[in-house]
Amino acid sequence: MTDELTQPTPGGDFRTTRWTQVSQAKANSPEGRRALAELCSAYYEPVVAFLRYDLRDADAARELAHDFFAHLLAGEAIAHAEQEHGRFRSYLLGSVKHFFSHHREALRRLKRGGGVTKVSLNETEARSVPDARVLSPDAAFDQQWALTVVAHALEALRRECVAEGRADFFELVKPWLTGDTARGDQTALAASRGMNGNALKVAIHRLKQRFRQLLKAEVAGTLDDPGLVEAEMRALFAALGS
Amino acid sequence: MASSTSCPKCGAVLPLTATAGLCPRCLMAEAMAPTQIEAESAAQPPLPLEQIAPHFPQLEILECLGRGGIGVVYKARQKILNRFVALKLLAPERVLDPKFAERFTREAQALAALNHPNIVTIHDFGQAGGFYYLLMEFVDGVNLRQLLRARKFTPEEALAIVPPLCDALQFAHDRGIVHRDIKPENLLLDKSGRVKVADFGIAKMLGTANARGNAGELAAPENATQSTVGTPGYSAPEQQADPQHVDSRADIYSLGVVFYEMLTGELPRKPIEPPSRKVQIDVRLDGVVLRSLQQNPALRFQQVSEVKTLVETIVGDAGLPPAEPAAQPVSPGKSLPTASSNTNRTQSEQKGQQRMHRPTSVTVFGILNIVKAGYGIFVAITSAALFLLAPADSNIQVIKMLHENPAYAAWVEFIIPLGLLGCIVLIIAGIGLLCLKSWARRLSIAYAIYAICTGILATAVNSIFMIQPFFKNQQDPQAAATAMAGLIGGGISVCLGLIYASLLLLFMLRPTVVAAFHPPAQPRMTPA
Repeated sequence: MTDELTQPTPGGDFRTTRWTQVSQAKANSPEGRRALAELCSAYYEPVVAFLRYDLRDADAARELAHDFFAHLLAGEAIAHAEQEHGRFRSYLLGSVKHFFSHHREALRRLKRGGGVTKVSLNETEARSVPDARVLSPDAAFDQQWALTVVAHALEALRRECVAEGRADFFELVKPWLTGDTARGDQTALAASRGMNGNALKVAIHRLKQRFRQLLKAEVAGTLDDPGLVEAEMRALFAALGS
Repeated sequence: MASSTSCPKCGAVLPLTATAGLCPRCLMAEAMAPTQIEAESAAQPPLPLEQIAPHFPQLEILECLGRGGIGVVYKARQKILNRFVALKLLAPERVLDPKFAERFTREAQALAALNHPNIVTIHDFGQAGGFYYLLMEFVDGVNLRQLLRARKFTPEEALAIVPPLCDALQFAHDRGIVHRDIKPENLLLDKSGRVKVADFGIAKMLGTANARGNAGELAAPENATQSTVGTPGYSAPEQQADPQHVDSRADIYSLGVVFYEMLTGELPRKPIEPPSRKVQIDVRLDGVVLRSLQQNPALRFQQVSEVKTLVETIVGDAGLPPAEPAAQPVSPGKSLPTASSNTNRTQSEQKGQQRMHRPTSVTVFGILNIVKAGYGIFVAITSAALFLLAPADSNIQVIKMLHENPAYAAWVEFIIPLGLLGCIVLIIAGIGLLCLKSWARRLSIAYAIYAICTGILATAVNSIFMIQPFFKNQQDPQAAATAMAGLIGGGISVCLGLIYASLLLLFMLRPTVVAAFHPPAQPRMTPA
């Protein structure tokens, strides 16, 4: 299992960093910082999703996310990494919440200090009318995290196929990754690629398997303990549920 | 948020741009659910028991019974009621339909209302720890697949199973519930030979909203994971073509397939060969089987009860007494309780199966029991003869004591018959072991305990009696020596007896021996 995770694919920037490296590294070591920086750049979107819940404005959320990561990477954030049950996801969410509550405090102080006494209606209005369709910030974070994980794994698979010269195969076959659909088209596809039906079935099956491995590796990269991959995947799947 | 429509397959509303236009939820679900081919060799372990137990505080989770396409089944004990139950956890990634919770509850309620001796009862259902679960009756037995693997059924045995099966199905059909997945893995037989149908309606519970099912499409092996189309080989043609609109006649088809497989040992192939051409059965049974297997539902039996009536008529006419489940333990090696089968082939086949499974060490102990008992009887008889026939003025120490010491005489009168009784019990146990009777094992254990207790008692009492004269005749070395000799001699034979009894006891408690008499029968689930 470890070999799968650390195997670099040719031409792809498949992440070999593991969350273990970050949590075990001492705060000021260059390896720890680099590992953390890599992980952060990969899981940028979930932080944006979390911030967008309160800020509503996509651009403002991005800006604040940028500030957050700068703060994270500069500071001693690694110090309390061990407390988060070995999950990068929990760690990042905790850090963002912490950062954001400080940010709001600072904003409030600024507003009061600036002599503006009237209460910002936008803020309270947004609070008091909960939109049933919109998820809570934690749920938004988790959902975006799950999306990011799946997207990364799919992209890694695509890059592998491209590296093997099978880019068009990937494009044609990728609908099958969501389960068997439009079964009748398989025979036509097989004929067009010069394969018989069974060969195509096997190729699809292998692609699915590879996707599964990549997805598991992606998830495992954010965990301390590889044994927790199944549980984490279940949690992420639940986060995707409507 | 990028505009995203709801996925036609799972109904989730998620952005698709990051995942090349594919629904992320479906991608993940598919990646989490192992495909049919992998499921059989999957190293994916079921959840460790410690992770499940906290979610079910009222249960003691004992062991994992099996894993299938639907989920994992555990054996558990309800602590307060102190009864065994089966806990089935439905795998979350199988739950693709967002309206699952609602359907699950509705289906589970309908199933809970199915209270029939031949249907596995549902005790409870709900959600815990992220899983949907079903709490069911625990059936201590085997499933039909295991029996089929062991050997083919005789016609009588098959005919014994079909009527109660029909009862169960008719009962459910009368209440508007179709099983949709009748196959040998879902038919359990308990220790008394009673058949129980499991997993009623689970298929419908897990069914996906098959909006794009094309008519006339045959289910490929990969589609077997979608339970609404049933299991290939057992599901009716109309079920594979249009899973949303099946009725009770689909169950009749599946029953026909199972019946065929029980009789011939194979699945019916096109063109269908009547079973009577493959095995020696009443030709009228052909009619029953073939009519059940009609491709057109309108041509099949319309009610399961018709099948039962016909089968019972045939059985009655042929002069075979209708078989009833008798109270006998069932194992792959033994025959099912049936009417007396009058073919020699079957009887020797049964005996042959028995011999194949009996460990030779059981034979050894069976013989040893008889030998030891014989020796014991010999000793008892000669001792009795010695005591009864020896003249009163004999020089032998024990004879003197017998006549001088009334307590000793009473003791001898007590211990010899007791010994004889033990030997008789031992002979019976030995014969029982050789015939692999289940009571023989328990009898051997009882004898061993009895022998150990009486052996210790006898040693103690004999020692007391022997030591008395020893102390009395301290000045007489010869008498002392004789006393000592008597003590030791008696002691040795008692020791040997004790050793044998201990060996017997330990041997009978060994798991392999227990298995030979009570084979572990667990309903094993194979991927749907």
